[in-house]
Amino acid sequence: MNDSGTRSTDPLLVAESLHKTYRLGDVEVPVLKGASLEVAAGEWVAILGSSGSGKSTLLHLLGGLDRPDPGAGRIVFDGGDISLQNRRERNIYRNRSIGFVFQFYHLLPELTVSENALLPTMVASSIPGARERARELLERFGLGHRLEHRPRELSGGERQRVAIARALANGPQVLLADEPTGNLDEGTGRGILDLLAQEHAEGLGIVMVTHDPSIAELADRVVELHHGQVMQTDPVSR
Amino acid sequence: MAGRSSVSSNAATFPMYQSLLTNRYLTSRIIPLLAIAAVALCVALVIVVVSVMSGFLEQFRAAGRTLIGDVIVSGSMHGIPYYDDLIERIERDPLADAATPVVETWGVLRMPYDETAAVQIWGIEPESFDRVTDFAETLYWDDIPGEAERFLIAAAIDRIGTELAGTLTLEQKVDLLEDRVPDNVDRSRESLARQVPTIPEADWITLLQLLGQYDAERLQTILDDAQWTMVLEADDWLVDDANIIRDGLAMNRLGRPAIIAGMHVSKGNVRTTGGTYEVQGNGRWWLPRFEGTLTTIRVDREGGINDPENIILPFANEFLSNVRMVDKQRVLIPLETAQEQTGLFEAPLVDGGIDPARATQLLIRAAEGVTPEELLERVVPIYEQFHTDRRDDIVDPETFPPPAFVSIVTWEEMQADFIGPVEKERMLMWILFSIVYIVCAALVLAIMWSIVQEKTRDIGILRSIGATRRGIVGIYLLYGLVIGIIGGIFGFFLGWLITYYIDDIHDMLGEPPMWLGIILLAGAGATIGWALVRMRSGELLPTVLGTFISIPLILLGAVVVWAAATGQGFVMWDADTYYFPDVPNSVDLPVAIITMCGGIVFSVLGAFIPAAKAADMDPIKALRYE
Repeated sequence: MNDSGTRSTDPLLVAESLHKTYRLGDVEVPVLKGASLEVAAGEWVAILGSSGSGKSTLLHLLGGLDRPDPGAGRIVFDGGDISLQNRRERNIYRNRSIGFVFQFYHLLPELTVSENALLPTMVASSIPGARERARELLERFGLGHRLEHRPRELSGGERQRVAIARALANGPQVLLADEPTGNLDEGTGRGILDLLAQEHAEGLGIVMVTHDPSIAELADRVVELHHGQVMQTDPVSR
Repeated sequence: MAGRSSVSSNAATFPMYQSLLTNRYLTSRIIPLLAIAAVALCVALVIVVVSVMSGFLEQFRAAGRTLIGDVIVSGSMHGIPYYDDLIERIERDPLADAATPVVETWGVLRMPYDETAAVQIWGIEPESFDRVTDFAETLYWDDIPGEAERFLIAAAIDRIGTELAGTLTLEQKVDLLEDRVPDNVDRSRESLARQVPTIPEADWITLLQLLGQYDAERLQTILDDAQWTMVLEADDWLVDDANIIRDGLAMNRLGRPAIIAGMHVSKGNVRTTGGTYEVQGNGRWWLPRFEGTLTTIRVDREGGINDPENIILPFANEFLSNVRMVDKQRVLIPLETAQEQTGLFEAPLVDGGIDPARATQLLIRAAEGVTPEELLERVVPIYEQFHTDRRDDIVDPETFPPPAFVSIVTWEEMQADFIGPVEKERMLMWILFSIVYIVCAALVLAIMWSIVQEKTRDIGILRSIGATRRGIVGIYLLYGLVIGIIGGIFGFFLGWLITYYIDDIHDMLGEPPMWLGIILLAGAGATIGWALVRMRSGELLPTVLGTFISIPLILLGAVVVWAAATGQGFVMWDADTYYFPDVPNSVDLPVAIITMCGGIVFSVLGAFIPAAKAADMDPIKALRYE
């Protein structure tokens, strides 16, 4: 939808022929079989695939939550190889450079809305202006009156907006969203997508996993994950 | 989106999400409260047990010291001659405060209630004995127990009977008769007055005694002031209560040497739960108004046994040292009397010269701030010098024990047979009860394990936003630390309270109050009521809880009510077993602090395993955890 020209053409996040195999008892299940992907800074990429195609695994690898099989592919962010980084560096990468949004929101039930949104900042110990930024985000997302509420008091859409605010708290360059509207009705889901589009318009890169082509087409580009491989990388035509 | 990726970190600030989460996890569920309660109970248990054992040991030490001084010099069976000289030499040393001679022997005391008691007899010089052992403070009676007074009045009337009867007027005699004549006899005063001349003199004395014993106030109204003063003056204790202490300190009663018996020598004294004593038989068996026959068997210097020696002595007072062994078997008599009984008195010898009086022991008190050991080192050479100087003064030098035959020991060495085992017992208790630390750690472990399990997804979320493994460990260690600290502090104060009030608790167990039983039963009733109401909604938990809570309450309440109604109690601290009448109630502060810290350390140790499990969790699996 938005083909803004402010975007740099150099890829920010690169996945090179990733392999990932899970072990279920004695059986080895290959999930990714040489998946490659390039995301430019500020680009919105949708990864389309049926369930079990390895979409979430790819997202986890991109987010540094997991590593590809040893020697089987690499992930480069801003010129640095994530898969070679130590734990500490990957913790910092997850905390500062990217933000995760999950299908089931994954808010901490004991914390209030504002505490949830501030959690990445607290984990980082201190980031100047983060508190104001989190509050501003929440207000921008229409949650200004909900700051001291607990997640269980919010609707699904509100919860997802808190989750997005949390993901953006430390000002990441890329948002990794795993079926962000998968648990919401269509109208509410549309609202969340509008919100993502709005952030994208301001320069946020997004990698969004979905099984719904109608949602995928909101992205700048759609890739399809099939049998553990990225099948096509056509620009979206609208 | 300015500032993206240009993030400054400040590692020095405290990771506040840990304390925030610990705080929320702690305050949002019941389980941590249970863990805190468990830690508190463990800590309190150890504090109470070890404090009581320590207190027991302290009491033992304190009592041992007040009863026998700091250093004890014991002679051979010949005793120590010229002991006054030795005492003078010892008291000249700045490290010694005072010294006193004792003659110790064993004997049988015939009690007023026709029983005998085997007793340890100590002949003492009250004044110097008090300087060494604070004996004056152990004298129990400082006034006449109310009900015993009438027996003293009767005894006083007996002493001055003839004289008093002679002063009675006809009016007074009629008054005395009035109460005594049976109902079927003419009780008019005229008729009684006619009978007065027919009654012999001795019967008036009996009538006065009887009335004095059963209704002293009535007797006082019948007698005029002069007559009543006569009665009181016949007994110096009736004139002034303070004389009881005076007689005790002088060990003299009505001009005769007197006995001061340990409080538990006489069966007439019964200890109440309040720590005071009641005299049996409504004051009848108050020992200081009687005489006792003391029989000693004299062992002569060759080890032969002579005929038993009998001596009848009045009782002047009783003493309470609070060391049961001593209170039960020791009687004190004047030193000279004991020397006569044991043959240790000063005596001229057939072939000329004088055999000096002797003491079997010398008790010495150290000066302020001087340890018994320091004093001991001074006393040994003093005795050696004393022996060298005086050896030639004695007619039969063999009866002057050389230093090698004299035992000079500190009170601790003297009591080592008792103190040693108690010290070991305390150590053993501490070790045994420290096992509760493991219980404490296991409880925290189990509780934290379940919390980690429940919070698996939170761990995944935290990892996904960049929380380090160390950060996750920190949350759960902090959790264990907070449980340990709160539980430890609560336990400290709980233990302190229980220890402080342990005698009240023990007394309450000894004589359980009825209200306690009623409260327990009422609690059981309320629990059953609550359970019945909740059961109607078909829930199982209230039924189970109601049963688990109400049955112990009913049993406990029933036992308490039964005990209160029948006067039966639960006496766990038997003074005969533990030597002391009270359960020690001072908290051993260093031990309490160590125990509290132990509770905290073990709580953190218990938290380590769940914390490590949390840190090792695969973030992706944790995120998928339902």
